[in-house]
Amino acid sequence: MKKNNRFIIETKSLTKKYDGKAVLDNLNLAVAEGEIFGFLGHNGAGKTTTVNILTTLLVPTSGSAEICGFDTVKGSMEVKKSIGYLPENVKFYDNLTASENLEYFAKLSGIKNSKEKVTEVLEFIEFTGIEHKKLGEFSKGMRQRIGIAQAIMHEPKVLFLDEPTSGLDPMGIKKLREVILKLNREKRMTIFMNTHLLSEVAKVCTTIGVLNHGKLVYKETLENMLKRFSDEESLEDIYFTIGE
Amino acid sequence: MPIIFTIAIQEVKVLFRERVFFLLLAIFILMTLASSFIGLVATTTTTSIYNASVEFLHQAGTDNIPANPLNALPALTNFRNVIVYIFLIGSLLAIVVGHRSFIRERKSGALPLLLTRPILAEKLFFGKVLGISLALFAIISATFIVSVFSSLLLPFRHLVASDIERLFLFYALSFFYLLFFALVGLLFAIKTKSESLALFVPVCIWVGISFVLPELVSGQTPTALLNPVTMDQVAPDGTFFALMRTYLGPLSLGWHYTSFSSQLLNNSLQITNAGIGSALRDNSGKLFILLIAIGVCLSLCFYSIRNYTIQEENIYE
Repeated sequence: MKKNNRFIIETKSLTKKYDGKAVLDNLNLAVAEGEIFGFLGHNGAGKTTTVNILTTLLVPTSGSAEICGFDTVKGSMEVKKSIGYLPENVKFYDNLTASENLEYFAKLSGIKNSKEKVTEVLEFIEFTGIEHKKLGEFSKGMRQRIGIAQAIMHEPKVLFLDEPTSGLDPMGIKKLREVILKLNREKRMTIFMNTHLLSEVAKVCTTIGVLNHGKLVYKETLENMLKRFSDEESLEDIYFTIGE
Repeated sequence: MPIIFTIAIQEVKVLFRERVFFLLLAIFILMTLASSFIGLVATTTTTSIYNASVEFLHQAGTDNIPANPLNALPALTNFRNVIVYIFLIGSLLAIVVGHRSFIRERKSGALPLLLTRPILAEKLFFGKVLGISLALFAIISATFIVSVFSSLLLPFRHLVASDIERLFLFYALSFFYLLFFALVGLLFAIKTKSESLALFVPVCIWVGISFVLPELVSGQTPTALLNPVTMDQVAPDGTFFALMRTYLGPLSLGWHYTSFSSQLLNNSLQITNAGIGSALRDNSGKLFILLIAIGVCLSLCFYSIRNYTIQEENIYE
């Protein structure tokens, strides 16, 4: 795990309310460069809202969030240049081929030699031979890998993944996990991963944060957490202990 | 390539791969061919009746027989049904084009990917509008070409240069009329939360513009309104219709479209004698109102895209 003192993701008293109801409540979170951060929480805890704010899709009600030192509201353009994002259940343009989809997003990211870049990225994630197939013919796992490809095309510093393994079969999960680890090791990408699959967290993440009803109730490196809760039988037991 | 063109080309590319586009194109071309065919049948039937009448009158000893009245009508008269098709069906289909332009990305989950790219909302907006315009332009151009070639089916009257000029003007006017409805479709695809509501509201607007407003202004029944007549109808006497005509008349886009189109395709005297320039001058107010309506829709779409955030129901976990 690469560690330094610089936080690449930082939120200060981040709050988001809908109709007066706080979905995020004074969230203070810091993620260091090079980490694979697993953001855990039950359904409705506020994980996706956090990612939506960090990816500039939502404006917080109060507080602030910074990516690479840029405010997500005031410096949204700079933030967008620094991030890659894969939402949950993205289907892209079904009638276009994989390479047509990827070339479009490459062009939107300002990449001039989009064709070459698509080939390079697909080779990096070891997903070649599918370039000319329409996305409508792809399985969920294949779409997720295309999703990863579009997210890393412009070589962002931070990659946000929202429930990336949701709905995937074991082989799809394994392949996606390998890609995530490769991105972190070889491209030095910081990865922020929303999930509620504890088994995936244990295999991939270096640090975890637990969100409960919009509040960060726990944040620790995986290594320290396992030491602290050495009495618990499984990661699931640790999660429930933290939740209590 | 500038981002606006990238987005516009993507818009056209995606639309061209969808069945809805080919359905749209097929309907427009079939409408044009149907109009030509109806014109051909009507002309042939009327001419055969005229010829039979001439023969009968000759046998009765009458020599002073008037010329075939059909010859006095311009060849474009055969296309007058296209006005009704575009007015009714074309505008409805244009709503679908605008609607699909934004709903497609909302449904597929590609919208968050677009909104997290380092592109200004303005560029996304202009790219989408350009893409929609290109798609409509392609449909209208194909229909125009089919119209010109289908005129060869008419054995008695072929199009001359001035006819083609008028036909071109008619399709240019139709393009702007369709663009208005496509923008209405786009606007509500951005503004409303549910997909069905995003289609329902523009259809209500379509009903209002196609039927309710013209009826209020003219006092005619909806069926009578579909007649592509050349002259503006005089509203029935009465304070109500007089007020409606004064205040709602200028807003009646459908009424403006049909009356101007009818002048272009139907009325040989007004257009042929006075020229297209004169017809444009006479109808400049109607054109201006149509362009204002497009401008208003563009502004509302622009404002909506700039202030668009992912809908709450999508972001709640």
